[in-house]
Amino acid sequence: MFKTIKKVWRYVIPYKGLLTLTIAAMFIVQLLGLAAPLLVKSIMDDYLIGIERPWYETTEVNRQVEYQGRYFQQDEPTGDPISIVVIGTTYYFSEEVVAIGQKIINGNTLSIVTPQGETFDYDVSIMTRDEVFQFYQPSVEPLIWLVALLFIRLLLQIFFTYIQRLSASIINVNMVRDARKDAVRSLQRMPMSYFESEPSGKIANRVISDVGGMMGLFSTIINLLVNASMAVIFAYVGMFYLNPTLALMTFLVFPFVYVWLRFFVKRLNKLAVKVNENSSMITAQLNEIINGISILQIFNFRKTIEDKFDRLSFDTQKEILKEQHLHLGIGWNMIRLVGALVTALIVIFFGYGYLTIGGVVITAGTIYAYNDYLSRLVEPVGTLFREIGNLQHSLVKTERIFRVIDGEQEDNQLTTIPRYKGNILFDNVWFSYQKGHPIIKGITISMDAGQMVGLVGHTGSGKSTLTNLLLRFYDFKEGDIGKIFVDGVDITTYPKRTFRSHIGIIIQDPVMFKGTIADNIRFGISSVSDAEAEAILRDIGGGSLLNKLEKGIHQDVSRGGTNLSVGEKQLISFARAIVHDPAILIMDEATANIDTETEQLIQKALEKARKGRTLIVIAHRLSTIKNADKIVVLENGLKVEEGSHKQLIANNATYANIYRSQIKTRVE
Amino acid sequence: MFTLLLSIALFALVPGWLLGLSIDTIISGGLTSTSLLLLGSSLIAFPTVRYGLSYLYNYTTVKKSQQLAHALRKNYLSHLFNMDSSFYEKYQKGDLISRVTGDLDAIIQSATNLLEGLVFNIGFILITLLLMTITISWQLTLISVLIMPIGLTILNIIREGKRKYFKKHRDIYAAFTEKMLESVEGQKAIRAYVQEDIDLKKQHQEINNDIESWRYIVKFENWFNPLFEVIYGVAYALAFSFGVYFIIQQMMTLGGLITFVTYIGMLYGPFISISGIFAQLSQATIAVDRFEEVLKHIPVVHDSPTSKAILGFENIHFKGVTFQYPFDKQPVIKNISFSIQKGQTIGVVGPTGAGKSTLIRQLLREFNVSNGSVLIDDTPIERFKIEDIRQLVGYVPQSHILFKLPVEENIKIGNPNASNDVVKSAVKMADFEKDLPYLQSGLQTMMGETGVNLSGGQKQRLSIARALIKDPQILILDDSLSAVDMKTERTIIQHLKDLRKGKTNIIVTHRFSAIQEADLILVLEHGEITQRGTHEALIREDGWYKRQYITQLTGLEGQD
Repeated sequence: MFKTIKKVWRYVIPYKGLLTLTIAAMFIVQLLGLAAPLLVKSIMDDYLIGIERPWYETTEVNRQVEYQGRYFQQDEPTGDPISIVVIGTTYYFSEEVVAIGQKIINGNTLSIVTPQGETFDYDVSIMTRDEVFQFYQPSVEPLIWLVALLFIRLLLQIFFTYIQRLSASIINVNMVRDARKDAVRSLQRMPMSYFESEPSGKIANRVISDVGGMMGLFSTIINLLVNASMAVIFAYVGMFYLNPTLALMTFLVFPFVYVWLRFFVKRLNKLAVKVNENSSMITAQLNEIINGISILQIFNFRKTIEDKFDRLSFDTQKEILKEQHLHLGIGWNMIRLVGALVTALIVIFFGYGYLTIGGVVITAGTIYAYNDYLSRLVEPVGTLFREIGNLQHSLVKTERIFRVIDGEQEDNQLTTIPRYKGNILFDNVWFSYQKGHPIIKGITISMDAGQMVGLVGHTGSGKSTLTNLLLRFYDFKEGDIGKIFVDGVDITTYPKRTFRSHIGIIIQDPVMFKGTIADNIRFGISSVSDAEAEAILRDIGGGSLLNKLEKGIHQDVSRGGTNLSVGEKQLISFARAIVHDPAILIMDEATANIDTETEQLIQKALEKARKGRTLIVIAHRLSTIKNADKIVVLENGLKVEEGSHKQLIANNATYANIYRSQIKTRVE
Repeated sequence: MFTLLLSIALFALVPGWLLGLSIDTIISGGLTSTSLLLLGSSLIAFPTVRYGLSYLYNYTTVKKSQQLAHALRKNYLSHLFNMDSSFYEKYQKGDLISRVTGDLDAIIQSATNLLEGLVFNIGFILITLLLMTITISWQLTLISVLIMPIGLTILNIIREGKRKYFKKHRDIYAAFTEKMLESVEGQKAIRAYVQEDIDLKKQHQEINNDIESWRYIVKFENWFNPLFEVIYGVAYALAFSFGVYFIIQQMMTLGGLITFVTYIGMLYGPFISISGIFAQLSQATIAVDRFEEVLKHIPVVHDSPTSKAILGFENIHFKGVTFQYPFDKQPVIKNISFSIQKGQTIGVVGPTGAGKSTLIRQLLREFNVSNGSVLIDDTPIERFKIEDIRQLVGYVPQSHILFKLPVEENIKIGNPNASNDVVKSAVKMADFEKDLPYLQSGLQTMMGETGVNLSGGQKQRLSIARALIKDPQILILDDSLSAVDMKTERTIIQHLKDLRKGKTNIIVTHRFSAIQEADLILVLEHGEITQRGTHEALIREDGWYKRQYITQLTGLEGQD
């Protein structure tokens, strides 16, 4: 886990300034949070309840309050003390200082029963509204200031929260951008085998959505490690200041919270996995059903499928309810309960103290402030529960994206080298994808510059592997034997990209890149104009394709929604190959059903494309390569035959057999 | 349910009042052990009861909504089975799935939220206000609370306006994800043509576009969200300053102020959700519309109460049949007429895109013909029950669809009640028997989602077995022998000839070998029948059939 966090840290470091700002703003927010209950406490205890503290009679000069011709002040004992007693919203004036205890008013007599059970009686008189206001008069100015301060504090808190969130978001956004850029850069240099090990959608998803894991991890660090701990520390500062005993008592709760949290997270993770699985299963099943709906309908095959889906749907419902059960039982609902019980704890604690320890003064402000601080302590618990649940998820995702970012990198140099003549030699090549399972077994093939060579054989015979090796999509590794030479030079002596400068490829089902058909033909060579691209495509027989399209060569195409057939895409790839003029061109014939016309078009394109280069064709239909200079027949990784069409027919072996099986019934 | 909500609201509000009461009692010195016990136990009891009530309420709502989701999913799937092909032409697969996943979730979510948002929050707010007005101070309530609904609603309206940008952002995001996929899928071509640098630049451009658009949203949201808190701040400050003034004016107690401020805090959440309810409503309406749109779709092809049953037939006539796909400009097949007699084998050939498959699929009742009619024993095909018509036909499609089921189950889709012997003979007839030893556990081998562990030819043979297991009156091979080799094709054709005596076969193909013995061969070009007859007749006639037959024969030898 810390390894992963360290990796994310790499992406946070460039934004040290912003991070400092985030943490500074957080600190200020917490500091402001500490101040709030104290301000309220001051308003209550010093000024609102403060009126009940003893007042002393004084001279006119030093007076704070004038009452019935007498002068009073509260700061120092200058004369006889008097009390103001508040019962509900009624205020009484007493000539003596009144004891603390239960108040009973009976006409002009106030009886006080202390918690210790003693009773005192005082003569009191009801004060008028103006008289009461006189006594509040000295408090008005400080009260206005305090309330204003309270409001300003709140605005400051909002402001600094804004600063904190904004700077954290900017870090997030930048971090995601940097990680994505690094990921795609790394992908470009990862071994080709990676692209065959996983479906494209999954690989793209690493870059698209797994970076979310980094954000999650970052937010967990910020929210949990920094913010929540600060919140806890500040809450304790306030609590220790107000009442250390109660503050110490709260530590008793922590072991319980720890056990509770562990149990919750464990259960939640288990359920979350199931719920996720179920919902992706629903998508998968629907996908399968809709894919095959025509078959299911035609065969009236409905009930089994519906039942199967219904079971899954019901299971999903059950799992979601279980998850809900957990949240309601010991999740947020429980946390809220704990938050509410805090109030009970405080009231009981202070109330009990007041009743048992004589003379303890419990003020309203203390209770209010304590309640506030303790609630602040419960809040991070909620955060903890929320974040810990996501943490696991974020970690997994983050590890996945870093497997791409820190993935194996191939050499990346690109230097200009002269065009090859096109002589190729596979020299006793042994190759295996998995150690101990050779796919190519001691194959030697030599191809002369300008030749067209056909590779024939069943799936798994090693045709594609040979071309993958020639393209250096795969490298020889320990245990593999042999070398491949181009113009007499071992191809591994070049950096990969440099080596590929003069090689071209036409794959089975070519991917169209976003842009026009012309863009796809020039493919990076910007000096080729649209008109030139069109001329080339028409020259190799793509005229009918262009005529069919509304915008001809300017027609926009893309990876997905393009209604070009495989054959048509291959034609565009041929044009691309001619533009790039590689010395060696490899074509993997489409296996899909291709009608005779398209087959003839491809044939024509091949004839055009073979001029001036060595052309290797992986053939599925023998008609494609009947004019090849050389045909190599592979079987289970062995070269079983080699020669021209005529020679091989004359040989009357494997090739002749395949040929006959393809033609036999047609001749009958 | 309503009583539950009401009691939750009450139980939520009482602790705030108890806190105020406790403070008033303690500071007035009026606390006794009895009152402490009472206050303490109620402060424990009320939240605990509320915990229980919330549990009950939330669990019930989620359960109800999940039951609704379950029922809706079931309906949706059942509806999908009733839809015809034009429906599946209109709606993309991904779209159909997202309607029953993403949109359904949104519907369920908002149903729960609306129930809570509208009923609970409004109820809660009203009760709180009532309590504040009666027990504390109506003036203070008016002064401090009023700003919340007004301010929050205005802010939400402004935000809604800004949310239109989200649509733009989604396009930018889509372009970015598309580029990522393109680069991954096109990696071979990129590397072979040494285009890494150029492509990387393009990828970085798309990443930047997405990030900058996202940054714009983040900045706006971050700037805007604090305004909601400012409104709360103002309400709080108003409550506090006027509260203090009211205390000085002897209009309320300190405990009252504390209770009041607590309530202000409790009102903020419900006001926020209610002020955002319009946004939620509009989002929910979109989701409901999208979901309903599919459920309300009535297929063009459907049974009527007067639909007739059918078990067998003597002849089928196509009379001037024209068919155009719902979203095409041109008909695919034009004015087609021909007859099929029971027991005949019919071949259909022609260039790709000539409409061969479309023509023959008229027998599957996936669409209604645009013009003309298909008559079965002189009754239009539309008059029969769809299910019965489909029961007559065993169809083997061009692309082979396998389900995530064992091989045997995949075959039995054709006839779930087939006995082991029937399965065996169908497997034999389709020449699939020879493939079984290569499968891990024979007929019980599990298929992947796309049947990846079978070769093209194996999939085709499995598909054929699936159709044969029905022993259908009409067997349609829709170019289904393209991936099998010549030898297998001959075996299968021979089996059909031997074992399907008296039953009808229709074979669409590119290879002439498969239909040489057909009773009737139709040549389809550009949607029209240009030639018809037996193989012997057609090779004597100048035309497409003869030309192609010669090309196929000589194609392999070329300029030899």
